[in-house]
Amino acid sequence: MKVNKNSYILAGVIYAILVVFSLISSAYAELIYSILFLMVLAQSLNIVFGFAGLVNLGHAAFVGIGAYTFAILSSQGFNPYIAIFLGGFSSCALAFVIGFIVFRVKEIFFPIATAILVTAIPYFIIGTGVAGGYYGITLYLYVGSVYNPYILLFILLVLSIIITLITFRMTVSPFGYALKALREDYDAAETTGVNAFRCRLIAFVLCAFFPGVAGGLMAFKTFWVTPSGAFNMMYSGEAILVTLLGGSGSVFGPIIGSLIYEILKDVLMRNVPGFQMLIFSLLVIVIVLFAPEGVVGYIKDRSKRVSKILR
Amino acid sequence: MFELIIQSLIYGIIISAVYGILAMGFSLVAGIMRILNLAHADFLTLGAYIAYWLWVFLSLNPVLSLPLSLVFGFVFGIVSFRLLINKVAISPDSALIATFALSGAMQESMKLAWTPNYRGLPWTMGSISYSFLTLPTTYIVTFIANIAIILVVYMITFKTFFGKAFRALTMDRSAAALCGVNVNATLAYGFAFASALAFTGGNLYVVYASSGIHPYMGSGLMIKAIVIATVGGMGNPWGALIGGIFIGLLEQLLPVTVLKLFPTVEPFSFTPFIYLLIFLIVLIIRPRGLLGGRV
Repeated sequence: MKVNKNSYILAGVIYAILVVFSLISSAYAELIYSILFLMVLAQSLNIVFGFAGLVNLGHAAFVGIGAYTFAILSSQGFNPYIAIFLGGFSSCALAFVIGFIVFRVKEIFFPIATAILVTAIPYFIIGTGVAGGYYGITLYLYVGSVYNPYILLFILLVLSIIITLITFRMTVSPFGYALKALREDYDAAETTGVNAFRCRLIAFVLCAFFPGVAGGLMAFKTFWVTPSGAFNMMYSGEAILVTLLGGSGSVFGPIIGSLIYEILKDVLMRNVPGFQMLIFSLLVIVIVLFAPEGVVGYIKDRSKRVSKILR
Repeated sequence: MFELIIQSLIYGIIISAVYGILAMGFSLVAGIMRILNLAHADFLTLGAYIAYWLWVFLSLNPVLSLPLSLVFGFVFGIVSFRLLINKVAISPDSALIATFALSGAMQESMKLAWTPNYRGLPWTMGSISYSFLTLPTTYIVTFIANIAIILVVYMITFKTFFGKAFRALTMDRSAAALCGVNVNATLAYGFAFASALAFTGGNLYVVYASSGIHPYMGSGLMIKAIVIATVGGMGNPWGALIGGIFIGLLEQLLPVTVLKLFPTVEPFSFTPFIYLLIFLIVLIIRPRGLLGGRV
């Protein structure tokens, strides 16, 4: 099977619009940066959450590990632009260890174990005082001279495009079908020869790379990492919200979801400050109850022609 | 040193009873409905705020307002079950996400209702001293109330038809339905029962919370409840009680004993890390928990 050409064109158009807007003014560039940041988190979550059907609450842990790897390495004199990618690999290593433990026990423990990860690591950092302990690491001295917001934006854009291509592949590749089969019926999939442990572990490790890199970028942009700021459950919650909003298990779901979410958040924060988290929490409940397929699923149900392009 | 350990031991026993109540309800819902209610600890927070309001407006102390809190919790449980939990309980994943969102919604609405400031109630009754030990009388009264609640839960679980029904549901839902258990009613009452337990837990917690209560305390308590329920055996309220004692004692005793040997370690932040580590180890070695399977 092949992916419809128009789908690629649609994705290309969306990215082109984002690039054009980010070049218009620096205020737009900030908005596009946060959209792309969330898009990377949500798209990588989508592989595990949408395709493999595993509720992963631990994305924040990968963001944090990436941020800390970046902070420690670059404060030791490493080139920041290399340290960002090493953050991705360290979060892959963490995902491998956790996946190795968790995928052997019952599935119901997966969300808990990943959530525990997000809370346990900051306690370790604060308790032992490694990497600056409670106060974290200030990075301006080390990376301030090579900071360029447009390079960070470019890295995010490239990451997002890479995940989009991977996700396109997954909609037609045997690996993607294996994950979907495991989601729909675990026993039946295993009986037909899908190696459940290996497939899930690969998906989990693969999707951990991107939040790791995004975490490094986050630390680079703010010049500061703290245990509570880097390992913030917000990242997991936002990624899940965006994936659900757009439509989990689809290529365009996280992209459209993060566009809607960031713009809505911007509007809400201007007009009803303090209420936005309440509104988003209620929005998740409404989505789970009435539109579990998200925006993409809703549009697909309405129109046959669009559903061929909007995967 | 010795005095400190004994004092911590007693505080540990007192606080572990509250953790027990918190985790019992969580574990009960996990057992009968096969879902994890991630908003359970926020029910406790809401209960604590109701106890706070009853103190401010009616000057009822937290122990006297227990029956009222029980009623509020039961009603809140029934309403949230009918409106949300019942509909998302079909699949564990959507229930998990929905209750996670419910937790966020409750925290935010509590923030809007009571502001994010720390609130406490100045309920004092003097203190009781015995040689080197000193305990506020309010702690002792609250602890007795706590034990009474646990005994009531015991009576309900083992001496009533409802208790029998929900234990049967934990074991095998379709077999229970065949034996004449009204599944839907038992699920609703079970959830409401757990919610009422959480609300009373809030009433008791408000006495012990030394720095006061705040809307976001549910997140930390939720992690504790999950750890306790898993260590004790998910789905088994009595395992949750044992897990509660385990975690409560660990939390109070570790900083004054073992962690004293490591002067560079900040004890009160490192203790949660240790019990989270224990949680992961339990997950690897015995995912069913200490009392898993037996109800």
